[in-house]
Amino acid sequence: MPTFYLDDEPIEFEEGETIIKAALRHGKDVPRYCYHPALTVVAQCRMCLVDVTDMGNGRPAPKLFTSCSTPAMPGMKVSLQTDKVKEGQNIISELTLVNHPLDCPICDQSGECDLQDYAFQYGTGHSEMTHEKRTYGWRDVGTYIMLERNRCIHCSRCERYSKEVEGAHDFGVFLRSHETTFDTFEDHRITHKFQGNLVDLCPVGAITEREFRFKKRAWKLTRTPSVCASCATGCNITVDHESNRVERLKPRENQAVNRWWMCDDGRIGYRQLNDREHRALEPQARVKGELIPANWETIQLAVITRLEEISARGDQVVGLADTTATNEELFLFKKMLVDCFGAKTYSPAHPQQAAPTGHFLNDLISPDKTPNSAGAKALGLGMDLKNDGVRKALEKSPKVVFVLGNPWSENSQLLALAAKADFVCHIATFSSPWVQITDVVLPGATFAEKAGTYTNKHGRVQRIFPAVNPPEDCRDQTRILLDLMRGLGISTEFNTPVQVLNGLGSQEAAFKGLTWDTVGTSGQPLAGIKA
Amino acid sequence: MLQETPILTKNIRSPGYDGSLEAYQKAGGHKALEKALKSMTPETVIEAVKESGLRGRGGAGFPTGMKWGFMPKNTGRPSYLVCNADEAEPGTFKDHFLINRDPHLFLEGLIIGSYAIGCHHAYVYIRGRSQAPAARLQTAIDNLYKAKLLGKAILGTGFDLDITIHRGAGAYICGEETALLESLEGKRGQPRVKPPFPATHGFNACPTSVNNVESLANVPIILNMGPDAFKKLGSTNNSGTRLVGISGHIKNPGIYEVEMGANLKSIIYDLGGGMRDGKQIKVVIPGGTSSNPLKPEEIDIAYDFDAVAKAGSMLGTCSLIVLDEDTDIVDLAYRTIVFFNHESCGQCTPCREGTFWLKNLVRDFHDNLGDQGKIDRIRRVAATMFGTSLCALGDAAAGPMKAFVEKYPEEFRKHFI
Amino acid sequence: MVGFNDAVMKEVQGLFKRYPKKQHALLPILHLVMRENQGCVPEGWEDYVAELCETSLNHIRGVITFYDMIRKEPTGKFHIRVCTCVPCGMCGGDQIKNHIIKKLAIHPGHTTPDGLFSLEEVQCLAACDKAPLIQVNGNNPEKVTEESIDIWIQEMRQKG
Ligand SMILES: Cc1cc2nc3c(=O)[nH]c(=O)nc-3n(C[C@H](O)[C@H](O)[C@H](O)COP(=O)(O)O)c2cc1C
Ligand code: SF4
Ligand code: SF4
Ligand code: SF4
Ligand code: FES
Ligand code: FES
Repeated sequence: MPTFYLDDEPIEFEEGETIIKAALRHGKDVPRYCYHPALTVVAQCRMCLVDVTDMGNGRPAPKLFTSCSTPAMPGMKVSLQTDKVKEGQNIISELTLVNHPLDCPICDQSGECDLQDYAFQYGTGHSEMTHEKRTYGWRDVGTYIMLERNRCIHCSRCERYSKEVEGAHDFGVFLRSHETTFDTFEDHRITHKFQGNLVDLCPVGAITEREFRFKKRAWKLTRTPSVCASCATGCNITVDHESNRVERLKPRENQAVNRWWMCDDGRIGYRQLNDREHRALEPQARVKGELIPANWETIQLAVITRLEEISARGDQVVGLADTTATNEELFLFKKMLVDCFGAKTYSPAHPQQAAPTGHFLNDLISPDKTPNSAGAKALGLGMDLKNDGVRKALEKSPKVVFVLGNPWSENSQLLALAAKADFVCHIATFSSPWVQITDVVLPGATFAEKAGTYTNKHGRVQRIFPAVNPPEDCRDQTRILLDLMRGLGISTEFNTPVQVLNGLGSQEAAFKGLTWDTVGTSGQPLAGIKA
Repeated sequence: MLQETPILTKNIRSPGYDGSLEAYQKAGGHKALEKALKSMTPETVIEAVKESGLRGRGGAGFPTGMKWGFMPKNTGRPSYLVCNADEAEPGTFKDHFLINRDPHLFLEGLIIGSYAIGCHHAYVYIRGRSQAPAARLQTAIDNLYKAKLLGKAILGTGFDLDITIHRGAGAYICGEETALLESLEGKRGQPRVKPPFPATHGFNACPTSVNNVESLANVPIILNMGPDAFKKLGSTNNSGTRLVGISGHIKNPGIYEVEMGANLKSIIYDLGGGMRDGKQIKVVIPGGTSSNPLKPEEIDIAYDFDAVAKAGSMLGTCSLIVLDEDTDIVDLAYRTIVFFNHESCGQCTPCREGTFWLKNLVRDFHDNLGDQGKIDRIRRVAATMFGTSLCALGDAAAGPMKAFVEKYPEEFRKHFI
Repeated sequence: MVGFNDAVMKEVQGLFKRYPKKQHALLPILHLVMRENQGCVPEGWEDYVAELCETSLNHIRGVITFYDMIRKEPTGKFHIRVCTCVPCGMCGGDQIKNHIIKKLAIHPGHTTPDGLFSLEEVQCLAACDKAPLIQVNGNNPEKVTEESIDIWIQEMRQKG
């Protein structure tokens, strides 16, 4: 591979690659506003200046070059350190701020603002601009976003995104010279489901999220890597939280899944993570027809005792699991039903996407609104789209029904069949019609409160991490299941989801070769599935 | 006493010449075209233009033959020749002079150039407000079609060419070649990032050469007189003549054709007739508003690319704006920066914000609100803008501002608060 | 009514033949829109042109607001452009502008109530040797004095 030198450090590059691209790939930081790997190169912000002291032919460049638009050449010598380039960065920082309000104290971007960071790192620290700055008012430009044009630094990312990635071109560029604005057409409001990406692309606080406006200081947030649980695509995300509240979900780059993007429905998924109203918050047992709170020890003991009393086996026991459960939970659940009762587990199947449309963003949104159907399928749970299998199983009047999550909760016919069982045990995160039927409620955790993996619709296994703590009396489902199994006399070597996944590989063919570490930050396809 | 050298203006200067196709041909027009199409290959045409040393007349002075030589051959995509008739640099009116008075001269150059680079559809990009010249040009082109000098099988050879006039819509920046191409594609006239260059990715992402009207007008002349004779005109590395447009407080404003390297002062006095009312010169802008001002003591130089550059300015479009002793330099600087600020396309930071800031600073002097700090600031902002913008407009705006405050600080001091 | 008549549509088809893509013909088509609509692009035509040129409305809007010449309001019968750019401005362009403002009682960007005159202040018109000058409609710019303007305005008013 050809090589150029960035401050004397060799950087390998591919033929035709720009300086910035190669440098960023090697972990170098080059200040930039308009450059974005997803968008065409426009070299408008001029922040990515480099001093090319040798163009690869022994001669220095006549002036500073923008690294985003300059192809690397073999033997080229590039610097981000010379006085010349520092002066250039100084100048651009100062000019970028000429018309900028610097209202950082009330700006949502503050703390994660490229302008703030670069002005601090590369700016002069003072301003001589004494004239009136151009000002505009807030603009209501979309159902999910707001626009504050005063803060716009004209990087044109929004316009290019709307033209090149989203495609509707509903963000335009109007007028010219210092009056140039990036905006929507007159009173047009964007309604598509990919507005949040504009917020992420905008390097400053010009485009902000309605939901997040004036809510939190970005620097106080902790970002925990995770996977969006709002559909079967499994966009990689971070769960941004503070004081045990999830404030927002942001996409995390994964070229194999969502690239840099996610949809707004996924972003809104954060609301449910803070929902306490519809949450199963405490263990409950039905006493004289009424669910009453109980502590975990009592309830676990009661469950074991009751199961031993009934001592059902085979068809007399049915497991129902929804596909919001992780691979690990589904595996343990299935294992519990097989090992303890010789019984079968069923999961609802969900409609899958028709053929891809070729529009990357639209194809992200999967009709299956659960994150782990593919995992359930890979684990061999009885998946049936028409619910025939599960109905037949329930029509055999089982004595015991285990319910993980809220499978088929909208299907009153199935619920009525299940209600006839002697004992229904429900591991619940959110309340659902199952609560009406169940004999015990064991409160679980949301995907933001636990570790584990989901398998996305393309068979890619991806990790989630606990970001916030579950409410006091809720427990990670893995632990609930392991406790139940031990109570039922099954010894297991597992204690954590990580151990479960690592063990899965040897027990489930589809998971062969997968471990917590090999799945890593960007996921790993199931055995036999091409990346 | 300096005299005009009428080469490009030979026809125009002959009494009664009306620029029609008959008049043009009666005066010996289209001989070069016939020669090129019938007895030369595209390569030998390019070779001759290279040999002549012709440098572009649009402002930058890039050798025309070399530009054509860069065009990749056999790409499987069409090649385009685009004639730049935007002519929006304040002080410049030479291209419109040619279009109005002798359109067939540069059109002949355009046809020959198209032949040389293998273009079968050429465009003439003319500024939007020039409806009358565009109409005149359209008539000239229609007549060429009628005379079978455009269209299929020109002069019975296998060479086909169409020419389309494309009118701009009021944006100086569309004179910049890549902005021009954007505009030709129906977009906002925002200059493109280079690389890729128009030679490989120009109009519709095809190989394209953009050439100024006057550059093209020289092409038939070169083929007619031969590159060697052409090279004998003008000074070293500056072959040929230039159409010099003189405006301002000059006795006889207008277009004068001189050999490159003629003495600048003589052009002003001998051809322009000196200043009106016997006044003294205060400032000469030698190459359109983008060029740095020269003081009267700096104008005793050869008027060619190199000598004017050496004097700290540029030859640009050969547009002399000559202003007299009563001139308020602050007013001049203010008009200049208002122009550039208004014409900035606004896409890149230094130019968008820099011209805005500079305009505000210079306006303070205009409003008698200046102070020393602001003089220093103008110099610093201009100096810092220079060389960091995306296209040359940023430099063109910054350079003169810096020069004005450096060369005429006392003029700015007159406007202190 | 929004939309070209058949005769103009023929011109449009002719234009499309002269460019590789329909979108390339946008500026000439906008010139046609202005020719047919008293020098402006009225309400509703942007959508029409967007469809005609197979491009987005925001593209059209971006182009229209970029170019000085493309207006949203009709011009008067005599559209006067007065140049106050560098050479003209240094040779009395402002006086001419102010004179016209006084004479017509309108500011640049406006049209007289009788719809006869509209005024626009412009940058260099590539005729600086005639400074100070004005351009009327699409004609070649003419050197003017305050007196010559008075006479011309008088004549045009009489002609109506
Ligand atoms: C801001 C700007 C404006 C320009 N305007 C014109 C113009 O009006 N006419 C022109 O021929 N060249 C103009 N140019 C130069 C063109 O970019 C280009 O160099 C020229 O058309 C090439 O033709 P030539 O090689 O024949 O000179 C301009 C350049 C810049 C940077
Ligand atoms: S956009 Fe950035 S620099 Fe501007 S006010 Fe917001 S945080 Fe501050
Ligand atoms: S709104 Fe944001 S993304 Fe759009 S141009 Fe302005 S700074 Fe860039
Ligand atoms: S220098 Fe000015 S005109 Fe050129 S690209 Fe930048 S903003 Fe546009
Ligand atoms: S990142 Fe290179 S110019 Fe903006
Ligand atoms: S400055 Fe007015 S025409 Fe050139």
